[in-house]
Amino acid sequence: MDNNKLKEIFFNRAEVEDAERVICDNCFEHTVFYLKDSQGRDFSLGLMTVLECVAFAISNGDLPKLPSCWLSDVDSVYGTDFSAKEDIFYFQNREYSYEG
Amino acid sequence: MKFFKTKPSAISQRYVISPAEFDEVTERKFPFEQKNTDKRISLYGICPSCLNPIQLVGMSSESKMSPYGKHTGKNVNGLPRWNQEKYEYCPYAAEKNRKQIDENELLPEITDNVIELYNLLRDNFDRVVYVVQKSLDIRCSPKFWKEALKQYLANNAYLYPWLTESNLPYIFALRGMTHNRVFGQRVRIGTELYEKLNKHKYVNMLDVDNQNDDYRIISNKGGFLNIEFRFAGHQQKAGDGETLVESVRFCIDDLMTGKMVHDKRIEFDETYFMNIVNSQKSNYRNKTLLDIANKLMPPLS
Repeated sequence: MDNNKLKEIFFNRAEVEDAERVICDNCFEHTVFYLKDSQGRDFSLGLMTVLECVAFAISNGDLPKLPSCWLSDVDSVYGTDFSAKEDIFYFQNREYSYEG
Repeated sequence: MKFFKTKPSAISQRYVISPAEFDEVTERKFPFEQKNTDKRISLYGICPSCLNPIQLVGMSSESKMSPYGKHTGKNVNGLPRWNQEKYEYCPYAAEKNRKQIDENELLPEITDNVIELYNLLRDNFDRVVYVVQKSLDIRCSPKFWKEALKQYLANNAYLYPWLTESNLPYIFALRGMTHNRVFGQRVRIGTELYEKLNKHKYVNMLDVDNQNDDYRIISNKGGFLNIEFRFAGHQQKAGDGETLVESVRFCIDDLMTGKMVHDKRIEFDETYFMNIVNSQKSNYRNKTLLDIANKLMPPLS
């Protein structure tokens, strides 16, 4: 890809307009965000993609590490495998959060 | 036991041990009716669980007891060779001879019986799912069942020594469904399970497609919901002349609090699954589920 194209993409920053809960038996995407880019074009972004971006940022040192129990909960509910990525978490057991 | 078979196969039909059924099914032919060396005529069948020879007793009209079967403990002419190891895993074996259920135990090798039960699951995966869903008042997505089947296979659960054709759906739940998420699956309205889940602080029951059917989707509101299925405590209770009572504990755990949301012992119906498999009327098949099983279950060898 040439530099002009890269610049165009880079500055075409999208903003979240809305978010929606999804119940989809096939993809199991829990939440989908509706975004609009600077050209006014609509597109969507799934929660799983957001989590992957967060994992990338943590492994690059741009975000602090997450507790292992948090990632374990995410994996448990969403069927992901973030708790296998050793460079994005620190070990912490779950503190039981509520009575109920 | 109250049932007998006439073929040494995991998937062959079970018959009620009664004079009328015995007469109709065997026509009193050898080896089911045979003379012993002392000229006495004895009646035999095949144990529906371990496929060893059994003697049928209490079959005459003068008998005060109800008919039942008991293991012979030895070879009988014309019937399958006595297999002591299979007997020790039989729920109908005498208590002192029977191995206690160990959910971690697996058979050391693939036998014909294992292959039969593996193929039974593959060819009737939709019916296995149907029985599990009906027994537990739930309805789960094809994706859920695909993951459960993968888990069952990854843990070699088809080598579970206490697996039989009659408990197959429940053992599938025990080994395939356990520790899988409840979120996003459906529960039947008005059931004990529905009420228990609905009381949870963060559970929100959804009627997504407005289909007005009897099920609601288990979703969340106001907080993170991490609840999972758990199955444990497989039990078998049977004695001479008694119907087998088999059960497993069905629990739902909240992983955020460490508490149990639901805890109930489910009893298996000994003949329900195979009645569906053998029924001429059950023409409806779920192709999606059958395709999943066919893709994930190549022939065992």
